[in-house]
Amino acid sequence: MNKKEIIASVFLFVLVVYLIGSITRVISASNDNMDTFICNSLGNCCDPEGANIQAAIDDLNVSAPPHAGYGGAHGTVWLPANTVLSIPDTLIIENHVTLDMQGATIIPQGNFDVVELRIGSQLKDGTIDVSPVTTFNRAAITLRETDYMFLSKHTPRIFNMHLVSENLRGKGIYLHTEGTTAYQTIIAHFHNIKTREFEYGVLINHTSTADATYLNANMFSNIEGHGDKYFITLYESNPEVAGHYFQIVQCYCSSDTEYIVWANGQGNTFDTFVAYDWDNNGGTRASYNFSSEEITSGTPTYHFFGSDQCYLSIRGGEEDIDFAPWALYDSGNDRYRNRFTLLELKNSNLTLGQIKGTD
Amino acid sequence: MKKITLIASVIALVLLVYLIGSVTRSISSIHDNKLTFIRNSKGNYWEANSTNIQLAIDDLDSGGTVWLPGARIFEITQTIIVNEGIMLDMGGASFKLPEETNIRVVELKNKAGIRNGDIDVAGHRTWHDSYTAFLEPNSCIFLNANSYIESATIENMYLDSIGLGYNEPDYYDDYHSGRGYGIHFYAGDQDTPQRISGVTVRDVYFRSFKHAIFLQNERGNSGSEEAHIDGNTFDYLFFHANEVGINMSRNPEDTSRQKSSLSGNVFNMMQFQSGWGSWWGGEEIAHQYILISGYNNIFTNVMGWDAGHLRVSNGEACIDVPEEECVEVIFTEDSKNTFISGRCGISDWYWGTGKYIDEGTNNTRFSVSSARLYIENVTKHGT
Repeated sequence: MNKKEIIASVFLFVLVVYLIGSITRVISASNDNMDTFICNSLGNCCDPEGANIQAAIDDLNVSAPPHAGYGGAHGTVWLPANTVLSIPDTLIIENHVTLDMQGATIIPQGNFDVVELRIGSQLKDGTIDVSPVTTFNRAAITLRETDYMFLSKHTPRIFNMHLVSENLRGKGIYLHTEGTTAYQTIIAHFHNIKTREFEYGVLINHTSTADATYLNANMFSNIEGHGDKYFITLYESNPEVAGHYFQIVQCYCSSDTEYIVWANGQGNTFDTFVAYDWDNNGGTRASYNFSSEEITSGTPTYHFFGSDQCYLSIRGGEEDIDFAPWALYDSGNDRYRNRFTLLELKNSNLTLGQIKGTD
Repeated sequence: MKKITLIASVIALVLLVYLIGSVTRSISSIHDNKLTFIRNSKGNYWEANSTNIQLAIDDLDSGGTVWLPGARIFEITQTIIVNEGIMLDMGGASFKLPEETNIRVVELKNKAGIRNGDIDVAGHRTWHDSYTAFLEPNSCIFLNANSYIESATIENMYLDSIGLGYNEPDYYDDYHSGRGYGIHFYAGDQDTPQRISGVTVRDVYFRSFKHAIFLQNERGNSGSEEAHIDGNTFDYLFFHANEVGINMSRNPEDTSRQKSSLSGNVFNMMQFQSGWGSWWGGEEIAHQYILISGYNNIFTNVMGWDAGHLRVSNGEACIDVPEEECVEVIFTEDSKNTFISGRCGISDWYWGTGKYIDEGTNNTRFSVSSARLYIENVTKHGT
C-alpha cells in the first residue's frame, strides 16, 4: 500500500467511525433520543432542566408564516416523561400554548405560583408537587385574570393533573380577582384533577370591586380531593361568582377537612358529589351544618351548599345533613341563590312531566 | 490500487452512502426533526404543507394516526377526508381558508377522529379587509350519515367563524348572522341506510357560527330505509356569539320518527354566551342557544348567559331585545326530550330574559328547587 492509499484508507476509516458515532443519534431504541429532551412543536429541543421549560414555551413566539406566534396556531411543549423538573420561577404557559407534561413532575424552588395559564393555553398529564416548599402558600395552578378570559376567547383547558401539597399548605387551583383593575375574569375547563393536602383544593375568590370583574362559567369535571382542609370554595365579596359547574366530584376527607363545598355565589351547580368519611372527626365538624342565613361580609360564618341541580351522596356518616330551604330568586337582594336538590328514588320510577319542589 | 484496497474502498463508499441516507433521519438540535414533519403511524414523513396532509392520511390503508406539526397554519383549499379508522392529531396546528374559499374543511368517515387543533374559517379580520367566503351549508367538521358512521371522535378543538356583519358594507345592522356550521351531522333524503351514532364530541369551543352544532336529518317518508342521528355524546362545550348554538332538525314529513331519527343524543356541561352588538356590526346575538326538533335527547348542566341581550340600532343607545324575540331553549315538537339544567341570565349589567319554550307536549324539564324529594315505590307522572 503506498502513501496515497494509506491516507485514503485512514480518511475513509475516520469517516466511517464518525458516521457510526452519528448512528447512535438516529431514532432508535437507545435512550439518547427526542423523548429525553424538552421539545416544542418548532422542532427545537433542549436539555431536560426546569429552567428550559419556559425557554421552550417562549421559543414558540414565532410570527413569520406559516407560524403565527402567540395567539395564532397552538403550539406544544413536551416534557420528558418520568422526570422531575425543578423550576426557579412561575411557569407561564403563554397564549395558545399547550404544555404536555407526559407524566413528568414539576417542583417549585420557592414559594410562588407554580403554573400560570394564559388565553387558550392548556396544561395536561402531569404532577405539580409543592410539598418540598415548607412555606408554600401560593397556588399550584392559576390563570391570569387580567387577560379577561371571556367566552369570546379560546378557553384554557387543564386535563389530567395531580396536585400535591403537604400539611395543608397553599392552593391547588386558584381563580381570583383582586384590586381595582377593570376587566378581570377567568373561564376555563378543568378535567380529571386530583388535589392532595392543600389548604384550599379549589379556591374561586372574587374580591375586586372594579368594573367588569367577575368569576363565572368555569367547568370542573372529575375532581378528586384527598385531605384538603377546604376542598372547594367559591367566595364573592361582591357579585359575582356564578354559573360554575362541578360534576362528578369525590372528596376523601381527613381529620383536617373542614368542608367539602362552601359557596356564597349564585347559580352554581354541584352535580354528583361523593364525600367519604365526612364525619371522621367524631361529628364535631360544625362546618357540615348548613344554614339558611346569608353569608355576612368579613369572616365567613355560614356555610351553605347550593345547586340548581344536584345529586348528592355523602357516605361514612351516621347523621343527616341539614339542607335548609332556599328560594331560587331573592328578589329583595336581586340575586339568584344557589339551588340544591336532594333526590332519592327508592324502588320507583320517575317518568315524564315536571316536578316542582317547594321553596 | 491493490485489489484489497479497492474492495475496502468500495465497501467504505457503500457504507458512506448508506449512512448519509441515515444521517438525514438523525436527531439533532436543529429543527429538522420529526416534530416539524407531517408523519403517520406507518413511520412515513412528509413536508409540512396542506397537500401532504391528505397524502399522509391516504397512506394509511387500515387505520392509524396522522400527526401534524403544531404552531403552524395550514391553508386548506380542498376538504380533508379523514378515512375510516384514522385519527388526525393536529398537534395544535391551525387550519385556515384562503380568501374566497368556501368549502367543508374536514370530513370524518366511520371510526375516524380529529383532535388537538384549531379550525379558523374567519379569514381576515382587519378592518375593511376582505373576508372569507365561508358560508353555510359548509362546515368546519362534517359527518355524512351516508358513510354509515358508528363511531367517531372530535376532541379538544377550537372552531372559529365570523359574523356576517364583518362583511357587510353597512355596519349598522342588527342580528348579524354567524357564518356556516361548526360541526354538521347530515342525513339526506335518500332510500339508503344512513347512520351517525357513537360520536363523541368533547371539549370543543365554537364562535360566530350560524349553527355551532347542526344535527340535520332530512330523510323523508319515501322508501323503506332509515336515517339515524342517534346516540351521540357532547360534553364540555363553550359557545360564543353563535346564532344558534345547537340546532337539531328533522324532516317533519316523517311523523313516525322511524325514518328520520334524531334521538338519544346526550348533551352535558355547556356554557352559552350571546355575542355583543355594536355600532360597527360586531358579533352575533344569539337567537337560540338550543333549538330542537328531535326526541328522547337529554340536556344536563346547560347555562345560557345574557340571553336577553342588548342590541344596537342605528348607533343609538342600547335597547333591550323584546322578550318575544329572545329565547334560550326551544323544543318544537312532542319530543320527550329531557332538559335537566339551570338556566341563568344573570349579570349586573344585562338581564337575561331567555325562555324555555316547549311547543311539544312531552318534554321534561326537571327542576326541583331547594327541596328534598323522596319517591318510594311510586311511578310518578305529570307535572
